[in-house]
Amino acid sequence: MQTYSDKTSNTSNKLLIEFNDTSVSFGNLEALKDITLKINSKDFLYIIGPNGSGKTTLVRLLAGLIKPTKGNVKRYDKSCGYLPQMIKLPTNFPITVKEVIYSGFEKQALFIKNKDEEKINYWLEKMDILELKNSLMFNLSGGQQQRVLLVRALINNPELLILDEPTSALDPDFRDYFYKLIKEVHNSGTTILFVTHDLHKPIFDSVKVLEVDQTVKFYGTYEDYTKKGGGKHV
Amino acid sequence: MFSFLTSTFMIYALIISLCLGLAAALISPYLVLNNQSMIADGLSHVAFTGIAFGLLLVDQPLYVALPIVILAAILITYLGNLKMINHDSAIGVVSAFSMAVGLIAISVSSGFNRSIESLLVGSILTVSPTEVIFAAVLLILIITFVLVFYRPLLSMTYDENFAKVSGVKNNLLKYFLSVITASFITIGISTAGMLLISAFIIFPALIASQLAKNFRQTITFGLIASVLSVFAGITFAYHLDIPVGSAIIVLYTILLVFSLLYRKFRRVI
Repeated sequence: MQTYSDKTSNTSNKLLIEFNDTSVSFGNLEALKDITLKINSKDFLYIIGPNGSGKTTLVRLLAGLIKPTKGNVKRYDKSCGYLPQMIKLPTNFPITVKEVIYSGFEKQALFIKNKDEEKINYWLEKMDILELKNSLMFNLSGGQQQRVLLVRALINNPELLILDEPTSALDPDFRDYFYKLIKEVHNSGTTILFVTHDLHKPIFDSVKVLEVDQTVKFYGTYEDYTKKGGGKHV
Repeated sequence: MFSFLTSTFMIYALIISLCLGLAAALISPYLVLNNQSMIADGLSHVAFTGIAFGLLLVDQPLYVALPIVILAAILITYLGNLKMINHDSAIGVVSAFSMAVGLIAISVSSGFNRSIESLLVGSILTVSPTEVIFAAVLLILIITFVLVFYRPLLSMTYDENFAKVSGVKNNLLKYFLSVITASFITIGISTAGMLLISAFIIFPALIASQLAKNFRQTITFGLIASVLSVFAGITFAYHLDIPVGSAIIVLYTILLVFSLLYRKFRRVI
């Protein structure tokens, strides 16, 4: 069952995101300052920077969760998947794995249709957690919850996928498979923005790097980044 | 045992209590599981003021109270969204101010002490057909709201950020939910009374979430708990000559204790 459609055949590398002189402040604290950059479709972009550099603010801005205090951000994607940094999910909230994943579907009905259920099964099997489909979310371990949230982000076959430190809660055994999966998703044409502290092992030769520390410190290929002596935050 | 159902006023009491119990059970999970249980309590203080003004100005206080409580609910949601003060504080500020204004209105007026007392403890046995119709219309509105917005409401309640990224209009839904809750509180206050109305909102989700294996069951079990509590509460109240609202709440509490014990027992085995 092919549930991840190939977006490479009908899309050229068009402009997908642009920041125009964008700043974000929280009171007197300037989290991001005068960011101007363009991101193309099909890019795989690592977003790096030290703690408190504004990485998560940048991602939340991109996801539409906060608004810039100056400038603007324009997105031209048709759909966006978002995996937040490991969040504290509500405890005692009686919601199953299946119900959480279904909330990621673009079109949702009162009752889950068979074809949607099959799609959920396919992804849960891929993540090796099919047996947890009807389990309550709060009974799962942190790593299992992270896998469920990853499926929720992927289930709608998004054109843009934003991953905010996605490996932080994953079991070490699952990480290699996770990178393989992300590579597969990217190969299907999805643009991936990947916030990380783990840049020592880029999963593509052609990855790009965006280093932020309130402003853009570096934006270019991984090769150029290492030539410049980058990696001090890793 | 059900001889009380031969009286018209008892039939009205049963219908309005069932309408309110079912309506509250439907919105209960979206408020309680989102840590907004106190909104019902806060809005009941506002409703107290609204009805106090209504009694001063017109024959049917609901017409004055309803817009006042809806405006207060919108204000609470707006203040909460501003993120300059948290949601609970917004409820506290608006409800305390309303209560203060209500008490001032009472102190400078005279002649409606009896009605005010009934606001506190409820007066289910004297509800009018108009109030029954209001409650039935409210139930239909809430059923429609929950059926149409079931998925976005669930998404917003569980993970507000993800819901927003997915395109759910969180703010609009929050305002809808606040207005519906405000309408419920205003209409329900004459039945259960100000002191007890918030229990209608809090108990169904609390009871159901101890037993449910998914979110759909949370709503279903909440509805069942409400029907049981209302029916048994009215029956006991009639035969033991005790206040109906109080009897219903005692029944809810008993169900909650049993559900907590069940969950604890289920874990042990």
